[in-house]
Amino acid sequence: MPAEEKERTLSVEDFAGFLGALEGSGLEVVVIGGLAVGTYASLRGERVLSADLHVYTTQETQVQIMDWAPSHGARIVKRPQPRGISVAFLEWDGKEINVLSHTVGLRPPAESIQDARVFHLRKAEGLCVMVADPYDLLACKLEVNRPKDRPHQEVLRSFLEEEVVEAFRTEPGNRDRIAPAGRLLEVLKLERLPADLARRLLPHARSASDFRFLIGRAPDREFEDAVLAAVPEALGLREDIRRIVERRRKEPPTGASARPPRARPAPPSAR
Amino acid sequence: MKKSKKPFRIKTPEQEARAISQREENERAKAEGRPLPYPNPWDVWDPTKLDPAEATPEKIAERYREFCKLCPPRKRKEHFL
Repeated sequence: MPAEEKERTLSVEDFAGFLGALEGSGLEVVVIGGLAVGTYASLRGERVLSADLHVYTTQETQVQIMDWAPSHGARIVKRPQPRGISVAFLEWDGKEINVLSHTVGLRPPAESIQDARVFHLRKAEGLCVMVADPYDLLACKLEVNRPKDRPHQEVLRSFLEEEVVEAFRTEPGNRDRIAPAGRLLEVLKLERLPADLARRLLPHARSASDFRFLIGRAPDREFEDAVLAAVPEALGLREDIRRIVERRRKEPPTGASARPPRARPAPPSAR
Repeated sequence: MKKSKKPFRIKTPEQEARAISQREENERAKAEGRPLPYPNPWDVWDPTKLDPAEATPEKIAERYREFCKLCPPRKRKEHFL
């Protein structure tokens, strides 16, 4: 049955037994797909349910899960094929589980595992579940962009915008305050902040780097003027910001444009 | 992301000969137990590095644990549901 037609009634807690058993056996996976989106949505009191669980892992772990499954109550419905599909289909407690080692739009599994977030499920005795990084998930959903992904894009974007504002408001370090906003722009392939988001960030700007970041990504002239008006005299930045504004106003508007993918450090390995 | 200003170029024959001779001098020094005349700077910056010839899966795992002490991975974000 196509996934779109299946009844969406499940949350990540419904798979706690399976995920707990995997964790107990040292098999590292990250939750992706609709259930991952639902996990982030539930932090904001929203509900996004799914029909099945998608987990993402390395090819090596996927093979280990195939060996592990029969002795842990999971039935193998279909094995991944060499040089073919990279998904293993399992059935556990009457529910469908897809174990993927490759998927469009997501970084390689080892990197996704490294950047995954941990969710402590209170309803499942504090079980720790790794869920793919929401920026990665949004990038994936934007790239795949099926009709069923579009509501997920909105949910993730709202979640991340809240996180961007929260970081700008509360993080003590300049880099930590700005990095989430920069990452969101990168995922959305935008050079300028969405106007609503920019206006939410401005009241929380306090350091020179905050103001430089905002002016460098100002969505419109009105916002540029607002930044100029908001820069505290004590920072001694006003002249700098004015020069940046003048330069920007001479440049043709760029708006959204494609950016090169972010370079990530390679994991350490033997020489 | 900053782009390297230096364009990619294949080594000239002189550069290649120099690299080979430096490598040979290093190999000779290693065989004789002398300090390497052209050490790889990473060997100083990362003392956990392993010789590939001696790297077993256990040693690689141990080396990764040691490396994580020098350069700890970023802390995971945690959420409570």
